[in-house]
Amino acid sequence: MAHLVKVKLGIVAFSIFTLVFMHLHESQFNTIATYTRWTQVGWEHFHGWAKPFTGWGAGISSEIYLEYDSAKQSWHAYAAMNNLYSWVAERNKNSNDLLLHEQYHFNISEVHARMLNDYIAKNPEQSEHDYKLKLSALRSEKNAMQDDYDTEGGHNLISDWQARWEYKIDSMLQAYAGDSGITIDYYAGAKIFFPSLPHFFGGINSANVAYRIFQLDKYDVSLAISLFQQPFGIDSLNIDTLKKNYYDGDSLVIRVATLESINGFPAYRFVAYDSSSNETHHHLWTQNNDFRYKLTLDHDGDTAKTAGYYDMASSFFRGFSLFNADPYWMDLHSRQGETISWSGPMEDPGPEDKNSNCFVFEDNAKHSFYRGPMFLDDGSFIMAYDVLQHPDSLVKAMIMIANNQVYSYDKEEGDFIFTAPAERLSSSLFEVSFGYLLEKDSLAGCEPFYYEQIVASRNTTSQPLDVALE
Amino acid sequence: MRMEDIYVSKLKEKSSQQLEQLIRNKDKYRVEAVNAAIRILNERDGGVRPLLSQQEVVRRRERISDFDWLYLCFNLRLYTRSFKVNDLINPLVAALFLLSLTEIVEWYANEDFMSDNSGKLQSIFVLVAVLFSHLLYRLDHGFSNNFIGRVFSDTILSFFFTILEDLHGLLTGETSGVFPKGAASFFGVVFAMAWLAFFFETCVGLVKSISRSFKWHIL
Repeated sequence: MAHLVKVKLGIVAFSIFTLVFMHLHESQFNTIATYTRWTQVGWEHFHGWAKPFTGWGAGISSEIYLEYDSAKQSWHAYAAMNNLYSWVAERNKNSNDLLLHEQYHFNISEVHARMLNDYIAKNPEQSEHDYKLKLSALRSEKNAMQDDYDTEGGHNLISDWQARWEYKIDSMLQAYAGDSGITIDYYAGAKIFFPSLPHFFGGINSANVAYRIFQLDKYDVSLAISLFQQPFGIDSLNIDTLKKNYYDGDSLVIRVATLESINGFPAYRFVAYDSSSNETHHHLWTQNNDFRYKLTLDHDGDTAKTAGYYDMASSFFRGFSLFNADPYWMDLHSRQGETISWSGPMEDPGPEDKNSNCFVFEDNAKHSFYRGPMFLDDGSFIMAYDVLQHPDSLVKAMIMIANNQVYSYDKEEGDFIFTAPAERLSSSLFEVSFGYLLEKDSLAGCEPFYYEQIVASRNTTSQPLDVALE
Repeated sequence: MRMEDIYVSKLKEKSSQQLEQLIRNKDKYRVEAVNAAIRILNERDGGVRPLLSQQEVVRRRERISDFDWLYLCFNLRLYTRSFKVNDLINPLVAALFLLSLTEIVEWYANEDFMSDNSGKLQSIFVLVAVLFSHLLYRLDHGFSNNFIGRVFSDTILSFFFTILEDLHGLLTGETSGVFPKGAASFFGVVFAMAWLAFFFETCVGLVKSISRSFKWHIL
């Protein structure tokens, strides 16, 4: 009997010691925990001790909480990290990668806090009990997602899936924030979802094609949408022409070439590996009568080892859609009102009484990205215009010659719309020359007119002059 | 023989008449108790009454087996008659042991070496705790508990585990109150665990029965 008592006492002692040790270790001998609400965290927020025998470099403890705002008389959820239960091993205190991984754990909690706030906003009359039930359900969802994040991302060791998860979590943060995350290009009529704000640039490429690009370099990849003013006269889009024009290199290996559909337009998806640069390019191509669209996800490494990036590309491509942006410009024009500062017949060489408005036809080339022409219900003509070749600040005046009438406009910051009243447009088919004058050339006599030409028709879309006249 | 010695110490205060009555009704008593009574009487009057033979023990086992082919003995008296305070202490020790093991697993659940096996490991620990509790019973009593006794023992273990878990949550500040989800929920859990224990022990009985048909004897 005596030896059994010893065994039992031994087990009881072991059990109590274990339970007490784990608690005291986690709570640092009952130190009062501090909580940091969702923010960009640094290692200074991690006050906890590493567990004995742990294989990980850091851990974060974040949770969703519900509070009542007596001033607003409403419930509000927020995510906060427990600084005491969040820890980092000494050897990892310089690791930004690891910190980013932990940040996204926190972001997952924030996503679910926003979900709860969304629920509260949509169900403002529910009881506290109901909100707490929802809180409990969302906590379970959050915990499952935290596990999935660690499992698929290999605790930050599987870089492509780690990046995929960062993309996904940022997307969810956007979805529950005020900003939808959708970038809209009203010139090309394209919408695309970016999980973070992309930067924009535009220009004219070596093939004399105007482009506008929205690009985001994040998640170890480059995400972009490139919008091209349709280069008329080129081959129609299909897999063979795309292969020939863009993927015809010794070092390029096409992994995927499939036909998909975007708003009824055929879209071509390519995945090509460039062995010379060790980069993989995911592209989605489509076009309509006026514009060509190219979606891009580029990353280092070969496709075979980067399924997470392929998945990210699929998600990015699914966030793309086309729409008719004409109503936007018509509405904007009606709100801006008439902006013509001068107009007169073509026989007049221009307002020579104002030296600054004297111009000469000099540079007929691609200078802009434009949408139009569009015709309002009253027959007025408008065309949205974005100067690409020169900075906006250098543009002194906008000039349009339509139906042998010269129009001059003051250029202000932001979107510009060429406009001409219906009564001056007698014919249904007429030439339009449109462009701008620059500030810097004002001392050199008449300004060179940077312009391009199209033939506008009330019944059809525009065409460049050389094509229309064939 | 240890159990027999215990019975000797218990029965030696009884009168010879009472002991003879016990021997006459030997089928109602354990073999060890009957043999203890015989030994006391033989010592008192110098008689040579034979002890119950091994054959008698085997005969009794077979008789029990005739009615208890799945080892599903519902005779609660067998359990209550030999009930000791250790029958509460043993499940308590097992429950505490189980709590500490499950908490360790929980603590290291996200570690790579667990590799998503924490749930399985915790289930295994539940089995270990139950077996451990039955083993302590056997060591304390000198014989195995019967079916209904094991179900009772498992239920007591479940009760202690649930209450210890709530207490642990309360002491570590994870929960508030002894019954954080309400007393009804607490007893509901215990009741559910009792049924689970019943089901588990039935399965064990079935396994025992099958193994016996192959001449494999499990404790």
